[in-house]
Amino acid sequence: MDYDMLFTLMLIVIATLCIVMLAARRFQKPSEGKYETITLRECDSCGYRERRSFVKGDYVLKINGVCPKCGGTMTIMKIYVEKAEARRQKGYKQISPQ
Amino acid sequence: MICSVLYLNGPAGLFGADNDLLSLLNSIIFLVFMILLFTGLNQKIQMMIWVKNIRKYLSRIEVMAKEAKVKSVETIKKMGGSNAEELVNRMIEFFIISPVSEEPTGLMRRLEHLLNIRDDRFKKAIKAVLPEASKHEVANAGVILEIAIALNAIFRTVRHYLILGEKTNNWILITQLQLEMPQIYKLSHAYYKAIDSFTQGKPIGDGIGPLVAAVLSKDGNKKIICEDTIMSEVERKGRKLIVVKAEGPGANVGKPGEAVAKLVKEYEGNIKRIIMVDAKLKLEGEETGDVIEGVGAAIGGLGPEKFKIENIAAHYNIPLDAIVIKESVEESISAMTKRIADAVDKVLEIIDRTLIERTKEGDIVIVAGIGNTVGIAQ
Repeated sequence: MDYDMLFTLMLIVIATLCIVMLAARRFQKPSEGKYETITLRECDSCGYRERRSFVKGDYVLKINGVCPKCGGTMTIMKIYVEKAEARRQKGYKQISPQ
Repeated sequence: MICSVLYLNGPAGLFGADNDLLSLLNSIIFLVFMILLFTGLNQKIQMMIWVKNIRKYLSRIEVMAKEAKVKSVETIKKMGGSNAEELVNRMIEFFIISPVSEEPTGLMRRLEHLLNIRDDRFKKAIKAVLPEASKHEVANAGVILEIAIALNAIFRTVRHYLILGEKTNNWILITQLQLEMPQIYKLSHAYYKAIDSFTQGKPIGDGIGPLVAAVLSKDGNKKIICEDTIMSEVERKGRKLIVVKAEGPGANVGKPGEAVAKLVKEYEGNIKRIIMVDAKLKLEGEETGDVIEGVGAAIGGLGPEKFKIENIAAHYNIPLDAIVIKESVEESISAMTKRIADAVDKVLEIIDRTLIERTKEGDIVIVAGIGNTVGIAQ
C-alpha cells in the first residue's frame, strides 16, 4: 500500500467535495403541494353540512342554495384550502359546485 | 486530467518509486491552501458564490414583483378601471413618513392621523379609476395594489444591500443577506400567492378573528359602528354579546379600536369584559391552528387601534381577554387552511367557558374579531 498515493487521492477527493458542496448551495424554492379550496355549506334548519369546490363569488355567511334534506336555506360557513392528496386519502367524495 | 498526469509519470512509473509527482501534488495543494487561507482569497471565492446565489433569489423576487404589478393592473382593468397602469405606476413607490418618536406626546394620535391620510389617499385614488366599483371591490383592489407595493419594496431593498455589499466589499452584509434570503424569498412568495386569494375573495389565515365574529353574530342585528366596522348584538349563555368585526366580504381590517372605544363609552363603561380574537405568529415547531389564551389587546398593526382599546379598558377598568390562533406569517397572508378554519370551534368553546366562569347572566361582553375580513361577510 502506497500511503503517499492514498493521502494525495484523499486530499483531492476532499478538496473536490468541498468545492462541489459550496457550488451546490442552490436556490431553494418553497415546496408546494396541490391545494384545493373548499366551501363548506351548512343548513340553517337541520344543520346538514356539505362540502364542494370553491367558486368565485363565494364568501362566508353567503346564503347559498337549498338543503337537499329539509329544503331549508344553506349558508356558507367556512372556506379553506386543503391538500388535494390528503383529501383523496380520506376518501372524500367530490360534490360539483352549484 | 488525471489520465494525462498518469501518462506524464510514465508507463513504468505509475506513481513511481520516488513519488515525485505525488510530492509535487501535495506541495501544490498545500501551497494553494495556504495562499487561500492567508490572503483572504477563500473569503472572496465564498462571497462570489453567495452573491451568485443572492442574485438567483433576487431575480425570482423581481419576477414576482413585476408580475404582481401586472396582476394589480389586470385586476383593476377587469373591474372596469380605465387608467389602471397610470394608477399602479403612481402608487407603486408610495410611502409614509413615520412621525417623530423622540417626542412621545400624542404619538399615537399623530400616527393615526398619517395612517388615515394614507388610507384616504389610496381609497380615493382607486375610486377615481373605478367609479362604478362596489366598496368591497375597491377594498380588494387596494390590497392587491398594496401587495404589489410590498413586493416592489422587498425587491428594491434586497437589491440595494446586494449592490452595496458588492461595491464596498462588505462580506458581512453579503453573508447576512445570503443567510436571510430563503426567508425573504418565502415571505415574498407568500405575498405573491396571496394575490390570488384577494382576487378571488377567498378568506386568508389572518381572517380567523373575523370568521369567529361572523359565526358568533350570524343571527344578530348588524349595524355600522364606525368606518368599515360592523357591530351586532347577540345573546349567548344568557349574556349580551356585542360582536365587532371589519365590514366584509371585501379585504378590510376596519377600525376595531375605535369601535370598541365607542361602544364602551356608549355603555358608560358597563361592560364586564372585552374578549379579543386574533391570529398570532407561531414560533417554529409549534402547530398551526393551536388556540391559546392570555390577557391584553390581541391586535396587530402599527399601534393606534391597540392603544385605543388599552386606553379605554384601563380607564373603565375592564378586563381584556385575548384568544389567539397560531399560524405562520405565510399562512396569515395566504388562503385560510383547514387547520386554521377548524380553530373556530375551539375558540367558541373558550369564549363560552370565559362567559360562564368570568361573567354573570345579564352581563354585557364585547367580542372583537381582529384581522382581514376578505371573503367573510357578517
